[in-house]
Amino acid sequence: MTPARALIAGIVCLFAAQAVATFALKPQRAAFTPNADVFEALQPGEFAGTLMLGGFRGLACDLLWLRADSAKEQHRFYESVALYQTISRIQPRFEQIWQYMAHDMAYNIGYEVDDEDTKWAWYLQGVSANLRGLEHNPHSIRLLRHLGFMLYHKGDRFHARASAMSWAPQLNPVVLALNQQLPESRRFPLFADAPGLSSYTLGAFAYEAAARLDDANHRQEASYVRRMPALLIESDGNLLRNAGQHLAALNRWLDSLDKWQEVAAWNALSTTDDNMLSGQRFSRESFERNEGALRRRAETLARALAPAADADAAGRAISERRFADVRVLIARGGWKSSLDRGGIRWLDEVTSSP
Amino acid sequence: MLSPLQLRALAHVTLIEAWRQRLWLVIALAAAGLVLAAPNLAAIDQSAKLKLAVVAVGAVTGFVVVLLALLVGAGQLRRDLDSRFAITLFSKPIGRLAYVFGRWLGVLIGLFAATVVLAAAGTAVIAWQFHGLPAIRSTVAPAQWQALSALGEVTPSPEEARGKYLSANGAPGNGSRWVFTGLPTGRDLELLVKVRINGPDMMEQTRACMVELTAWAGVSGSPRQLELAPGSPYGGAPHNRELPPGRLFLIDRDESHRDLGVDYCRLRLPSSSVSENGVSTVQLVRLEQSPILLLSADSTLVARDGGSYVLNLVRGGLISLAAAGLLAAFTLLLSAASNLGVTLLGGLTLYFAGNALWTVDDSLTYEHPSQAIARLLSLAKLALPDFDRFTVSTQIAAGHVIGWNEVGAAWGYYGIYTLLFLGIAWFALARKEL
Repeated sequence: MTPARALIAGIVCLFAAQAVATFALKPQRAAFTPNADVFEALQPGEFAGTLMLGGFRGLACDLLWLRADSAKEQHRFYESVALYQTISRIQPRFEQIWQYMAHDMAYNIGYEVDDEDTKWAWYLQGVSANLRGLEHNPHSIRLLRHLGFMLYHKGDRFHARASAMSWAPQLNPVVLALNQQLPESRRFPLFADAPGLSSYTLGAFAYEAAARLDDANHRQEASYVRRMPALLIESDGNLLRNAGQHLAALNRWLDSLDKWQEVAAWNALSTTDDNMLSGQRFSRESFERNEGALRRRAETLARALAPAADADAAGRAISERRFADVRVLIARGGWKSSLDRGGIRWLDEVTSSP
Repeated sequence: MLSPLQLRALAHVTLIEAWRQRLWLVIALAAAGLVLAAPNLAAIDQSAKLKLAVVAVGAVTGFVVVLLALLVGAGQLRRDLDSRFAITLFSKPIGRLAYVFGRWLGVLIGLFAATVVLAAAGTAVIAWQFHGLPAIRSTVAPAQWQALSALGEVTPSPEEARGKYLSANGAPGNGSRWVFTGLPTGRDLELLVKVRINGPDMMEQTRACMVELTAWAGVSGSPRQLELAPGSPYGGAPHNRELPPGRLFLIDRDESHRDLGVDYCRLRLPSSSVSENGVSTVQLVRLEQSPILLLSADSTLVARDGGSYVLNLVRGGLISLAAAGLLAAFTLLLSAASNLGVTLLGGLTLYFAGNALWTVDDSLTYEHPSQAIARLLSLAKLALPDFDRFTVSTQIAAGHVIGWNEVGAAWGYYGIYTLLFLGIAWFALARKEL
């Protein structure tokens, strides 16, 4: 066989293998591969692309990354996103690519468009890019952190839209992949296929996931992820309070206070790791600044919502950090669901009085 | 001396050797895969996907051209020297200058062929996936720009305002006039309008202002209200406001918005508003008190057909080729003086440095380096070729024409470096005992 024929035969074999992998084997992979491997595996098309580039893959990434960075710097965001997507096909395990792509879509291109629907669509594209990155990099704490940031920070602009949709189809694959890496006691339940989750709750989930993954891998990548769930759940409670749902807000604040106790427990861990020591110092400062203030607000609200007989007990329980006792009192019933407090009202606050 | 026959022969040999190397085939196949996958990039709608696909095709083509420019010519020259084939070669009546230029020309022809093939593949896939290609427009900037007061007084805009903004605020009725010359006559044209709007509420996400746009033939004539062109991305009434007939709503667009397809309000400029000698005056009047219009010399442009997408892509390819030619020349120079590893590393270093000049700017502006470092950085900025100077892909994706003048400018800019590097490569070869 002449070299030319061998080359042609090789190319034909490559395409035939690609066709078999795409059409015949792909449906069977899920049945034979454990779940984690499905998430870690490259798609057949991506594999072929990276294989063909061979040793030039790194060089291709460098060159394209350079151009993407330059385009981003000069506000040519469509170009940077196109280049990031190209790089993500060549090197899908490169976490930063997914992060930058998601950020450019949700923030930079989203800023350039005018109407709210298009901004929302780009935001969803950004979240989706971040989630695709997590599918390829299920161990990535960086991508979980960025997902959390986008969900709560950019999502802050789209509260009504975010609450109105079900996030289960997008987030449950991530939950499944995460659970594969976590010990049984630390696994997450799947999201119910229903609307109603606020941007803050979604963000809190992503940060919580990052913290649990950090623990499971015995790493200390960023200490702030441990206090973010507490802060975001408190913000979720604030949203409910602003909407006049005071009892629901109290419940969320109690959730937040529980999270603060987890932060306090982490702060108390003994370590010689400088990174963790520094993280604990910042974390302690944050705890001191936030937890007490929230406890006092929760106590005031609990005293106002509780039936007269339980008001003092509920207040004292919160003050003494016995949050489970407060929940027991709430479960007994008789609490006001809303507080017609008078005074200045938030623009979006719903009054409880008929 | 440079003999055309020698040049042709060496370019031919370079092409044949490159063909035999087969390395290009692997790279070209991978690039073709990426180009074919371009229309599947994730975006919110078809128009955004099209834009991403156009940029991706351009970027991948550019990447392959750069890679081949670095690899092909330098590898061949080095092999000639290492295998002592050069001794045989230069014993024949072939000058060293012809050898260097011939090798470079051969590389360039090969690169042009690769560009054409990849661009054609990309175009075909885009046309097939999106059932059409992006519209390309060329624009005519106004020859004169005048300020219009609320009392109707017209004053020439001060010379120092050129390239800056003229603020139209206070009582409504003020605005600006633009005089266009050299317009085609006898057919309707397209007027593009883009303004910056401030206030009334700086926190408001979409700032808008109601305006009236009129035009007349020549410098003084009877004004005629301009209508929105079909498919204009904005200009009509927003959902919460009413729009009287003959009025438009412009929305805020700053200088970062450059897409001729989506960032400009498009109006029909009727042929009756253009005089026989191709002069037309366009007037914009602000009709609301609160919004502040920031008008500039190029707030209005007249659009013309910019030719086919493929032709623009080819012209864009020629611009990329100018940059690739520079890299090929630089690697020829390095390979004449050093080994292949150093050559490749040197070529890549030049390309990386030439793509990162903005970081030099940033360092000079924000990092307050010492005087010695600042001078070194300023020198680097001056001496290094800027590979990000001509943004071909973005320009095509934004619907801007790639003109022959830009092709000329690119070859002029990169050509100086190319000639310099080829000259030094010739000198390096001339000093070798071959």
